[in-house]
Order: sequence, then C-alpha cells, then structure tokens
Amino acid sequence: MEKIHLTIDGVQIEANKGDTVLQAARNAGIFIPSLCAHKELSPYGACRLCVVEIDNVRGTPTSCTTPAADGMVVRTNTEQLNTQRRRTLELMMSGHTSACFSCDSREECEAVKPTPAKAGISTRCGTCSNRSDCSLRQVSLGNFTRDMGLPSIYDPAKVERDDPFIDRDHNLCILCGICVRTCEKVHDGKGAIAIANRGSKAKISSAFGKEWNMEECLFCGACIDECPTGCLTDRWSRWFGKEDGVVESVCRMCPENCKINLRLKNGRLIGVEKTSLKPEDQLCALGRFGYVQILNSQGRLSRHYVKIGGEMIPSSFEEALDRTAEIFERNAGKILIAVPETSADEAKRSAMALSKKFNADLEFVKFDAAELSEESRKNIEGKKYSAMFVAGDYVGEELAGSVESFVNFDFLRNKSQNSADVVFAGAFEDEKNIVKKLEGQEALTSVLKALSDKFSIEESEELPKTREFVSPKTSKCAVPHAYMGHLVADLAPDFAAFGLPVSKKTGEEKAKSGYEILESKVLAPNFHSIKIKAPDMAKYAKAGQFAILMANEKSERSPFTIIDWNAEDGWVQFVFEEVGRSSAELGRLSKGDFLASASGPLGTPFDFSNFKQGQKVLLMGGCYGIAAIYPVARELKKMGVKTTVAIEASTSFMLFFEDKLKTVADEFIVMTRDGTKGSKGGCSNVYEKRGGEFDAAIAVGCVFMMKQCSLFASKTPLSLCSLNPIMVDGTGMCGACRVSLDGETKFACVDGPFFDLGKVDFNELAKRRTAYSLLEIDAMPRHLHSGGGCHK
Amino acid sequence: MNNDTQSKKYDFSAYEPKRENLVAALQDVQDKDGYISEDAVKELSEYFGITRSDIYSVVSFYAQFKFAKPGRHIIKVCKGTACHVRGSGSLLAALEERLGIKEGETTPDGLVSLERVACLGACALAPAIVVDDKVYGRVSLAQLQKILEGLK
Ligand code: SF4
Ligand code: SF4
Ligand code: SF4
Ligand code: FES
Ligand code: FES
Repeated sequence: MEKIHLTIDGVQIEANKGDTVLQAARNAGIFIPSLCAHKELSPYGACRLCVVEIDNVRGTPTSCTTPAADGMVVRTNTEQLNTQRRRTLELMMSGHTSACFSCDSREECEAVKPTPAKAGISTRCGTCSNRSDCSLRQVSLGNFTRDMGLPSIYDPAKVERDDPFIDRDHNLCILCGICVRTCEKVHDGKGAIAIANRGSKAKISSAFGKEWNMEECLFCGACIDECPTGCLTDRWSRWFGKEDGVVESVCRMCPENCKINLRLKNGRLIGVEKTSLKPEDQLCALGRFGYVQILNSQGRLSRHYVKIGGEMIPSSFEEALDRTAEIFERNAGKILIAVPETSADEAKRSAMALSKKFNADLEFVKFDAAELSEESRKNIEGKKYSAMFVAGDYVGEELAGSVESFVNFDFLRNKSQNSADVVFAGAFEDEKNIVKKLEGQEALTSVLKALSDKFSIEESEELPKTREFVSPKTSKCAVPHAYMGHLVADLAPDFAAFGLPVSKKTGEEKAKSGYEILESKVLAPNFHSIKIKAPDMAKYAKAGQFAILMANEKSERSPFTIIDWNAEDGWVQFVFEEVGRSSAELGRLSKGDFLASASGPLGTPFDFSNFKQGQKVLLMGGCYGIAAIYPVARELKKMGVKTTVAIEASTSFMLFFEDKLKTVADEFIVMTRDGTKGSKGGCSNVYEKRGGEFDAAIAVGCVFMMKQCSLFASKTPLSLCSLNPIMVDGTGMCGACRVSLDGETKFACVDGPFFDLGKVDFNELAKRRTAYSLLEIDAMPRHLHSGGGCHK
Repeated sequence: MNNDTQSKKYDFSAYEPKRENLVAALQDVQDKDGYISEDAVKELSEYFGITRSDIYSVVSFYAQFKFAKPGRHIIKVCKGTACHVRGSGSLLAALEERLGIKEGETTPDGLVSLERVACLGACALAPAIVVDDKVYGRVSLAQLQKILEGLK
C-alpha cells in the first residue's frame, strides 16, 4: 500500500494513502474525539467533534471526512478547537438528559452506586443502562465542566417501548446516524430506518413513524449493538451492562447455523451478537434476541438423572451413559433415535452410526417442529419400538411412557422426562468450559459421541441431505416457531408479536378484583402516584408507615410508603419510582384496574413525641422521599412545629409535589443537582450550611442522598432517616434490610423504617445494595407486546 | 388490500428510476392526491428501489409535503407573537378539543384540517385565524363556535 507522510500535533507520522485524517491519527495513537465516525461505516461528518486545523485549509474541517494528504500539517488539540468541541457538545446535550454531567457529587454518587439504577426510563447517566459503555458519556466527561448550564429537557413522547425486543428513548439520541448507516450496510443498502423530520423534531424513524414491528425492520439488532448512546437498547439484556468475555459459537436454531458471539458476564450468557457487520453475518431476531432468553429461561436442566427403583436420581454423566448403553444393547432392532436436524455435524454422524449399529430408526426432526414426524408417531403408537432416545421436547409424557425404555436429552425440563429412564441435561455444569455449560446442542454432541465411542463404532461419513427452507434472516415471518420441540414464544414471550404460537399465556395478567385504583398519575419520568380504595388501611394509617402491594397474584410482594390517606373517603395514596419489576407492574395499572393485594399499614409509625410546638425542623426529601416526607411534615406543621422542607432532584423535570409540599412547609427549598431549578446541589448542602438553625433534621431519599446528609448529623440535636428504600419483602424474612447502627443489627422493615441518621452504617448498606443488583435484573419486567403479527 | 393483484395507482414512467427524480415524483403525487399516502410511498419504493423509511425521511424533511389528505376546509391559527400574546394558544386548544384532532390533523370525516401558520400579517386583529381563505380577527370562543357550525 502506498504510504504518505504527515505531521499531526508536531509528530511526523506515516499513513496509508486513502486514509482519512482521523484514521491516520488513530493508527498513530493520536486521540481525536469523535462520535459519528465508525470504522466500518462510511464517513458521515455529523457530530463535528473530530474537527482539526490543517495548514493552508480554511476553517476547521472534520477529520473523519478529510482525506489525509502527503505533507499535511494537522493540529488536533488547540484551545480554539477544544472550545469549538465544547460548544458542539453543549448543543448535542441540550436535547439530552444531562444532569449527571453537571452534578458536583457525580464521582461520590457513582462510587456508592457502581451500576446505574434499573429504572424504566433513562433520565440521566445514573439511570441509563448504557452507562458502562457509552461513547457520548466518555467524550462528555472529558470535555465538559460542571457549570455548563445545560437546559433540562425531556419529552415523554420520545420514549418508545412498544416494539418487541427493542426499547428506544429518543431523548438520548444524538442523531449520529450510526444506526441508520449500520442498518443500511448490513442489509445491502435496504435499511429499515432513517432520520425523519428536521430541526428539533428530527428523529430516527421507520416509515410513517410506525412501530418498527409494523415496518421493514427485521429485528436483527445490528443497530442496537452499534448505537453509541443509551437510545437503542435490548430490553432483555440491557441491565447486564458490558460483558467480560466473548466466545464464538454457532446458533443451532435453524439450518442457517449462523456464527454468533456469545456475550458472557461472570460465566453467564447475557447476550448474543453478530460476528461482524458483513451482510452475510447478520442474525435473525431469534438468534439475536431469542437464543439468550431461551437458554436463560426458567426450568433449565443442569443435572443428569437415572431412574433407580422407580425414582429419578441425580447421577453422573458416566452413570447416565452406562444405563443408556444398556438400553441400546437390550433393545437393538426396536429403537427410535430422534435428534434435531440442526444438530452439529458430529452429533448427526454419531446418531447415524448408532442407528446403523443397533438397526434403529433415525429421525432428524425438522428445526421448527414441536413434535415428531407423523411417521414416527404412527410407529410409536403401532408399538414398533421398545426404546427411544429423543433429544428435545418432542414427545409427551404418554408417548414417552408407551415404550419400555425412554432416554431424553434436553436443556430444559419437559413432560416426557416424567416417563424417562435416563435424562441427559443439555446445560450440564462444566466449570472449565463455560460454553459447553451454556449450549444444549454442543452437549448433545458430547452425549452422542460418548455413546458411539463406548461401542467403538465408526462414524458415518455421509450426512443427511439438507432441505430447502426460508431463512429467518430475510423475513420475520420465517422465524422458527420451536426450538428442540419447545415453543419459542413460550420461552421468549416477545415473539408472540411476530404471530408465533404460545401454548399458554405467559403475559402478566391484570387482577380482576382486589383494591380498586381510583387514580393513577405519572408525576415525573419513572415516578408514579396511585390512589387505591382501601378503607381499613386509610382508617389506621399513620405517617411513616408502609404497605405491601402486589399488582397481580404473581407479583412479588413489595413495600411502598404510604404518602397520603383519607379515612372518611377510604383511600390511600402511594408514590413510587419505577425501578425493577414490581414497581413497573404497578405503574402500568390505570384508573379502574385492581391491585391483587395491599396489606398495611405496616412498620413503626413516625414518633412525633420527640417534637414540640415552636421547634424548628428541617425535612429533606429526594426521589420518592419528596413524597414520603409529606405526611411527616403535615403532622409536624399541625403540631405547630416550624417546618423547613427541602427537596432535591437531579434536574428540574424530575421535581414533583412542589405545590402539595408548600402547603405543609413554612419554608420551602428546591435543590437540583444540575442547577436547572432552585439552587445547585442537594439537600445535604442545605443541612451543612444551615443545620445549626434546627432542632431536628429528617432525611428521606436514596441511600446516597441519606449518606451525604449523614455527614452533618451532628449539626442538629436529633437527626433521622428512613430506610424504606432498602426493604425488599418487608416482613423481616428476606434479611435484605439488615442494617448496622453503632454495631447493633436491626431490620428496617421491623425496627424502622426511621433510624438515627448519624448512626446508620451507610457504607455497609451501599455494598449490600450492589450485591442485590444481579437478582434485580432477573426480576426485570419482560412485558408482552400485544399488536403486530407478521409483516412482510 | 393486496398490492400484488391490484394494478398500480400511480404512473412514474416519466421518470428514470433514479434517486434525484424522487422529489419530482413526490410532487406529482402531492399534486394529484393533495398528500402523500402510504400506498404512494409503497409504489414509489418499488419503482425507485428506495426503502420506504428512506422516502419517508425525504417527505418529512420538506414542509411542502403532507401526510394526510387535507380536509374540505382548512383552519389556520396564527402563531405569530401578537396573536400568541392575545391568546391564540387557547383558541388552538379550543379548536383541538372541539374538533377532536391535533394541529396538523384532519377530522375523520374529512371536513376540517387544523394548521398553525407563521404570522398572518393581521397582528392588529390578533388573535386571528384563517378559514379557507377568509381571515377572522379578534376571535372569541363564542365566535369560534359559530364559525365551526357554519362549516359543511
Ligand atoms: S446515553 Fe450515555 S451520556 Fe446519555 S445518559 Fe446514558 S450513559 Fe449518560
Ligand atoms: S439511535 Fe443511537 S445510533 Fe442512532 S442516531 Fe441516535 S444515538 Fe446514533
Ligand atoms: S434491528 Fe436490524 S433491521 Fe431493524 S432497524 Fe435495527 S439494524 Fe435495521
Ligand atoms: S466523527 Fe467526524 S463529524 Fe462525527
Ligand atoms: S425487607 Fe426483607 S427483612 Fe426487611
């Protein structure tokens, strides 16, 4: 390749002819900020971050679109360029949720919360699933100062959560066009999305702005993988964050056998990705989104079983193998072997060899079949066989029981295993080889191979002929309905949106009776308020108490603070943040719906006996605490206590309840972390500065907010905090809300929720919160998409 | 509706199927129908070999193209400063409520389209609206009701 020479930032470098200035700099290890440049996509020149100065070239050209030339003298890092970049970023950020960048406590906060909160909607980096891997964040952290004064803008209409698999939040989009270019590239120029409208209304969109499921999108997921921000996310796997390892593998759900990259984290499969941006390396929706959900589905089988004395006993691989060999020998001539046609070639060879040796019938089951071929079924019913080896969920309990000996292989539990003599687990634990552990089909290869080795039979050379099929990569309609006999949409419910059959309804069902919802409101992104009819609870409720609510019978029991109530009218109000599953389920209920259960009031009421008329009290609320301090402030004010109510939010659009709080506050203070309303900072700043004026202080908010306030606990004779946010089941059973006070162990749900602010060990609390985060991901909502069907 | 069996509704044969002719073809569609329908985009996509999303992107870029069939009557509310100050916002809200549509939309019966326009130059008459080609000034809510009732 022809070489050219140029000078970048005073350094002589060599570059390939045809490189852009940006590529030349990168290859030489010189960093130029960029967002819309992508090494495999055509230059675009949209973000204007990669600007440089070049001798004898006017203005500041974008280095990603400027070809490098021999003798060029380039500067990438001048004062003027950096100012220009900052302006550009500011513009980009003015339509983006940006509070974390301006927040003075960002580092501290992120140390306490090392992973973002799993909120329904990203309102800043702190609740954005892209945080661990965000190019925009990286560039911004490197270029911004905290006093940029970015506007606080959020448009609920830009959050789109109606499509299967893909959540989109256009509030986070920077219009870099990478998704559009990616889609176009991987589909040979036929992209499904484009930038529609212009100016402030510009948006990544399918034709006519419809749901992507209704339009050309194939749900290959390529765009998600390349999007540099949190705008496009994979609903199922987004909260796992960045993988810690990638293993190459093969998808065995259809005869395409696409190459895939398995994304692993702590040995667990968290996602499946294409191996490159070449059109031929793209995946279908099933491979991209389904495989990971299927392999992670509940009911995974990870131990082998052998029937001994009528009972299935967990066994070693060898025991299972020995018993299977015995069955083969005993039943020669009367055996059916059935394995998926998509099995690995070696597996098929072994199966063919076994069938030859034992004179057994062999069926390669069609890749999208949920049961065996008619021929095989007739033969079984006609008592042709005395033994069967079936890999997958192809025969029911009865058919399996109709033969003398039945061996099943599956990566999940299935009904036929009830009638089995041997069960091989397709997900068996293999500590050394994670992939084997993950992949049912590779495990099948080892089972069949071990069997044929046992009889030392020669493997057959030939393979069965492949049949014609429509590739699911070319049409959503061709996505296989089943994998190893299991219905895909049973295991990954979103596929119902493509019209795939389900055997049972897996969607969350709304309760038909229980506690009626009288009102349901969104107060701010992720913050919901519901009023329910619960006369008994309303009669006994006291400030500081909580109740355990369940949206439907299957929901988890979760505690929520009682905010307001009216004994006469019999209603109780709750305000909660949408983080995790139970709150998301509650948030989806609307007026007229029912809560399956609501028990309360629970917890020790707030102790007002410590307060006297004429005292001055500082009440501080953040997040849900903005609402939770309301009943306490109301009661105090009634007692004649002088209340100063301070609330904090990351940014102005996250504030709520202001008018309501003003009615119970003698003094009302608003703090925002980015300074877009009230003063810049948090409640702890108020406490620090003015704590000395008060007889008592009460802090209610997230663990970080209370931790910050706790530093000033000595400023007031009495200081309290509410540990509601750390409770999980609210019964004293789960142990999640354990907390140390001066070395003494307490449970927030039983002994609290109010505790001495200065005595709580917040560092310990923060640590335990992180330990729970993986469990929380598993409990994230997988909501069922209703409309759609298959669109060509 | 099945596109395969139905004959094409539009004739683009005057144009070579090249991207640079797309806007001209779109203009023809708009002249013929008064708006750009999904069916038109589908046929354009087939003829020009350009994806639907791409055509949508082009159409939505130009303010001149409309996505909905205009109503028989068009009401334009002025969004100029003078009108704004004198309450064109609440006029628009009232119109949206009574017609059951948002700005930029057309009533389902095809009677009325509602639009907002830049200053009409009738600031002295603020707040002003234009119904078809007639300007109404200092419009009160009562008057609005009368105007709406008069439309057929
Ligand atoms: S997209 Fe990036 S910069 Fe934006 S909120 Fe998410 S992590 Fe932060
Ligand atoms: S969705 Fe992502 S990739 Fe697409 S333009 Fe927006 S930020 Fe860029
Ligand atoms: S999922 Fe695939 S087909 Fe759909 S928009 Fe993204 S890249 Fe295009
Ligand atoms: S990287 Fe060059 S303009 Fe975006
Ligand atoms: S919430 Fe589980 S023990 Fe308190």
